[in-house]
Amino acid sequence: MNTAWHALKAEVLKNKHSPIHGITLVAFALAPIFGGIIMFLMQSRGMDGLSGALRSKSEVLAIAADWPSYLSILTQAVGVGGILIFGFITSWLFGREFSDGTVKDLIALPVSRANILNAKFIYATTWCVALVICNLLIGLLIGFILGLSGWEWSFFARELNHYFLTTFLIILLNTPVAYFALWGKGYLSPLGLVTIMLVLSQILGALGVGQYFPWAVPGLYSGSGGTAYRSHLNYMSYALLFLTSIAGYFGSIRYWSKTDLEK
Amino acid sequence: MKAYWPFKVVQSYFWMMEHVIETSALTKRFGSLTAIDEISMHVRQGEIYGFLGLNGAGKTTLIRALLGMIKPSQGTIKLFGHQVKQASRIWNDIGYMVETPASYPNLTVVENLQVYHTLRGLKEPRAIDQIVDTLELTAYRSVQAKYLSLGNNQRLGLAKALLHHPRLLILDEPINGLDPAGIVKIREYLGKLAKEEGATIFLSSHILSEIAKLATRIGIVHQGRLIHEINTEDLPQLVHKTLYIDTLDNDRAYEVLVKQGLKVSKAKAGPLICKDKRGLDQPELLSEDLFKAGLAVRSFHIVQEDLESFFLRMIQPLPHTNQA
Repeated sequence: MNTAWHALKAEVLKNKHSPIHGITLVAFALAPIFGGIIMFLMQSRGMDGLSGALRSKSEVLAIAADWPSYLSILTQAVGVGGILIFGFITSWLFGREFSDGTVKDLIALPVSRANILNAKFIYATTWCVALVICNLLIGLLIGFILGLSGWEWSFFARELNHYFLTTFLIILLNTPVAYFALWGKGYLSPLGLVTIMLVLSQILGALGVGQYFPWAVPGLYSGSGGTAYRSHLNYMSYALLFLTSIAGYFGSIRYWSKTDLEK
Repeated sequence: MKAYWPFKVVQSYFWMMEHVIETSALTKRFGSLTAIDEISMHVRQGEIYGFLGLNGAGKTTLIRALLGMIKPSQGTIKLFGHQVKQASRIWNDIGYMVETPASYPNLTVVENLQVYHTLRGLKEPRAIDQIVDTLELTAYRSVQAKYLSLGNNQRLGLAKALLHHPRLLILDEPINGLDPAGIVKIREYLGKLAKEEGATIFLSSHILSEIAKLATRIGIVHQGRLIHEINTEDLPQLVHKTLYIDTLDNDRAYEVLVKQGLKVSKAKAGPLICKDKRGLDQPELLSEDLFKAGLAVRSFHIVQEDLESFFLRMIQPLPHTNQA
């Protein structure tokens, strides 16, 4: 337990001046800001305030300039953007030790290799949760500044539930990303995985089998394809996602504990 | 016999303890490439063992195996008498630096050291300041590692290895990138560490002259095999010496010396060359013989083989190897 704590403290120290915090904060904050702009445009001119693909999408999702629509946009942004941003964070945290060459200094220590990885998983999870809380606060601030109508505590509580469950589902997908960072010994392989999975989730979602593809599940749950799609998810959808996560975690621990560090 | 068994146990315990590093038939293969081939070696406590070899000879692979970074294909490794295991407390007795030291680029020198201070669970709060001062990094303590020069980055790598006052130091090419003053400083520091604190130092290098200044014993590795082990104090006897004799009449001098039973060779021009042990050990007797024969000696000097030539000679394949 003591060495696990040391590993976590060291992980916090390692990321003290890491650029990943600022980059992901700004990238993720674009979602509530962009959602706020949509709300602002619709507030004055309704659907006429939007044009092109944005208008088509807004019509499909029946978006209005009110709190339910805005909170739903925030959840959807997490559902889709989260896969990319969380994947980026995980790729960085697990891959940078190889890219910076510091991995060789993490081996011959009184701390187990598993504890080093667990510290990274905890740090990644904490940062992902901090990002979504930050986004929520930015969203609430923008919503109140715009004076959006339709605030209801019961709806807020329900949407908050969706928001954090979507976050949780995406965080579960950090483990296979970590495995690819360890396997690929850097951050290119996991970033490649995230990109491929995002593309595949779009394709499989369009083919109507997205509910059985773990990377498509959070997006469907968030309602990014329309809230009706949430009902397509079943026990198997969540079971597959959990299994992917568990395989990613134990695969990472096993690979990292057994692999030779030749470079 | 029974009366002696406690003594034997104590004796074997001390024997084990005396050998800080023990490898037995240690082999590591990467596919068809055998990086290290049945290396058996013992490094005693307080010894500075220089592991010498050309690039690609297997030095770093052995060091990685010692540190548990790679699994041996066969053979065993013991450090302080124990098999190498992950997450053992024994790692706090070992400091190491493998190849080019790496640091977290956005962290300062002190912050980088704090990471390892934390990971090792060290209690001594002044340990970082002490090692920063010792390795003359004080002026750079708040500088981010990405802005350090090659030499200072090397110092930071050494600081990480020495932070916890290890009983065993494993250093891979520790003087790479250091300026001459830095090399002297590190050499003195490591020497002091072994002499005054009884630390065992295992260091690799491809520069024999540098190793010879610091190590008490040298292991020469070539193509993955440990081909020679030499006590550094024996090195002067092992390097080849040649006596060059130049007289006013080298042809006559040659005849005189051969008559004395000395093995001397002569070129068409230039001095006589003598590699005979008797001549090398007592050159004054040769001089006397030549003087008695009425030969005026122009010059008389012994040239010692340089360490690079010695090293290259050591890694030459043996004649029987060629025949095989």
